[in-house]
Amino acid sequence: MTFPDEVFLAAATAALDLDPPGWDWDVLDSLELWSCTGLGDEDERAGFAALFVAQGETLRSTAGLSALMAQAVLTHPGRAAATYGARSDGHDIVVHAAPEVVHADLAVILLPDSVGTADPAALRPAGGASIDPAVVSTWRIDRCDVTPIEAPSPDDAALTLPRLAAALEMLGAARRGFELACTYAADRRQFGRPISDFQAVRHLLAEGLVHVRLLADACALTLEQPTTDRAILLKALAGRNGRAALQVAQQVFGGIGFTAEHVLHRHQARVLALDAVLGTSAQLTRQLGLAGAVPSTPRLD
Amino acid sequence: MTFRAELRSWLDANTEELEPCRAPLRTFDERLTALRRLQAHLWDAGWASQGWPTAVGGLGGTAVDRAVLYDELTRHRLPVGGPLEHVEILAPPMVVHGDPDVVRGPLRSLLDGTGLWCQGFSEPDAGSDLAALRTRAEPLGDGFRVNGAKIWTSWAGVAKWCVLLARTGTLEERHRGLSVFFVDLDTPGVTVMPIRQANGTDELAEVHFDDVLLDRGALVGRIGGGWQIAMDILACERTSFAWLRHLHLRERFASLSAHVDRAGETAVDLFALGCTTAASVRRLARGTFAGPEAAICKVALTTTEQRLFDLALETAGPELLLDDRGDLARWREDYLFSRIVSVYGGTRQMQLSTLSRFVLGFGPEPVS
Repeated sequence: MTFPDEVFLAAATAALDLDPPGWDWDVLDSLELWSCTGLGDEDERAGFAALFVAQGETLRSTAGLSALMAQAVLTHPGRAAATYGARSDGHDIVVHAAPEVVHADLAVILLPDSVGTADPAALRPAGGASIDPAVVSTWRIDRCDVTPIEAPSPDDAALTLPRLAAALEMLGAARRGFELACTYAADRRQFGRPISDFQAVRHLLAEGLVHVRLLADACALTLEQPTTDRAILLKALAGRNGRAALQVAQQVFGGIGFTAEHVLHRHQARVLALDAVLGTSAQLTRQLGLAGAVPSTPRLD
Repeated sequence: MTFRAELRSWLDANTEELEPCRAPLRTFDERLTALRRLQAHLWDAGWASQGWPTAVGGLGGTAVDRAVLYDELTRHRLPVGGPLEHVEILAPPMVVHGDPDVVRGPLRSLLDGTGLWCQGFSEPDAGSDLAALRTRAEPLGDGFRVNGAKIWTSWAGVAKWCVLLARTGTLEERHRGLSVFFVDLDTPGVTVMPIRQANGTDELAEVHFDDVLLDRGALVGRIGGGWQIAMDILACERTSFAWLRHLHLRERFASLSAHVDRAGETAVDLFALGCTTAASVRRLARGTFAGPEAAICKVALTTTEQRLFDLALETAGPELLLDDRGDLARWREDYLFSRIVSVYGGTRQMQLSTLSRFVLGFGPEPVS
């Protein structure tokens, strides 16, 4: 039992690997992501899941998450992309957004209590680096370049699909990083034997497997039965288990996994960057706790 | 109307009759009586036989129907589990592996609450190393003669039937020399001795077999085929039972109603456990026992249950330990029970070893 469906995942991976890179709107079009925002049937759900999991696995990016955010706000978003968060700084508004926003036809600027739109060309790189600039970086825009629109700021309900998408990408990034560690454990020899012979290493990796599988099963169920509350729980789980699985991978890789030339740190950066947007695991978990939230039971019939 | 819709309207229409099963039940005996009574109601109305093959007296359907039944019972604040947890642990593999004529009678008594089952696996010298068990079933005439002793047998003190894993081959054959039998605990030579537990209940028991004579019909499956049945039973204990247990834990969490930061962690745990056990119930409904991957559910159940009752202990304050007013006694009993979740049905360490050996594919653990 694999999640997401293998055929869809292979197609999404191939689309992200186009040469020259088509990892922008063309990829979204080729996967018909925009026909599936309702996640109405099984194929649509499989395509949606495959795109975001493949992004995490391959560490590539599309405008997908930003576009879903725009869809949460606009009725006819077209090729619009939204920012993740914003704050005022003098005449400027400083926003966190995916780099693909500058390729969109319209930038949707999400302010704490209001929404505006802007020409993406008005966005200027603000300098500084986020943990994963392919997912999110910081931009400045002159307040005068933002046109206020009549639209409510996205609430938890509107963030359901974006949070699901982010969790799927975190699953892809964490699972691939974890799988690399499993392969490494079988290859790396110390004391004359593969380190996967040692029970301490085996049990550590088994705990990592549990983190990854629980996240995959939760993604699959939420994809099938998406609700506002489930998306919050899933995003909280994705941050927690994604980080935990990669900590296992880091431990198994030892020093080599802490070097810049090894890919593991990029999987970790991807998970951390996605945890940082749309509510962190810590923020959402706290919110759930204070609200006394009790998860609804999955429907089996 | 769907099964769920029909069930719901029946539960709503019979609120009064079901009330005695629902009232706050302080003692273990009260809870047992309530569970038996509930099961009798469910049997009489036809709900308990849904999800079981017609060949063994059921109405057809799958494990999903049973999962829906437990879901609706907990939604109606009715208890699930207790000694009836063997409906999900033992019965599914017995129905698949057993002769329908042998299974039909005991299954009916399990489902109507009159004849509970227990699981005769562990022995004093065979815990995690189950394949080292020594209780022998030797051919005698047209049947078998059983000698040996089981320990940590849940619910044996209140059960009628024991699903016994016994050695029919040699010790050296390890897991290949084991077979499964259905033993009526009223058979001469069987002695059940309840064990008082740290949480105050006596769910566990020792079961001794002294020259117990069994008919040929007591054998389930084939001679030497016991290990596969045992593995399927353990898989159910870690999956379909975990679904039922997760529903119970969810109700306990809801009644705790702890509006504190860290309750969110348990909400996330329960969410993940629900999703993964739901997936496993669907696989079971398609006719596949979980195999080694079932250990994932058990590790998740362990973490969830222990963290939930840690939360209960820490939010209830010292009263939970010092007093037994209201429902404090029940919380204390549950807290103490949660300490053993990482032991029963395969320790957490055995689950992790199983996962690394079979699912991660690292092979047998070298012993250095």
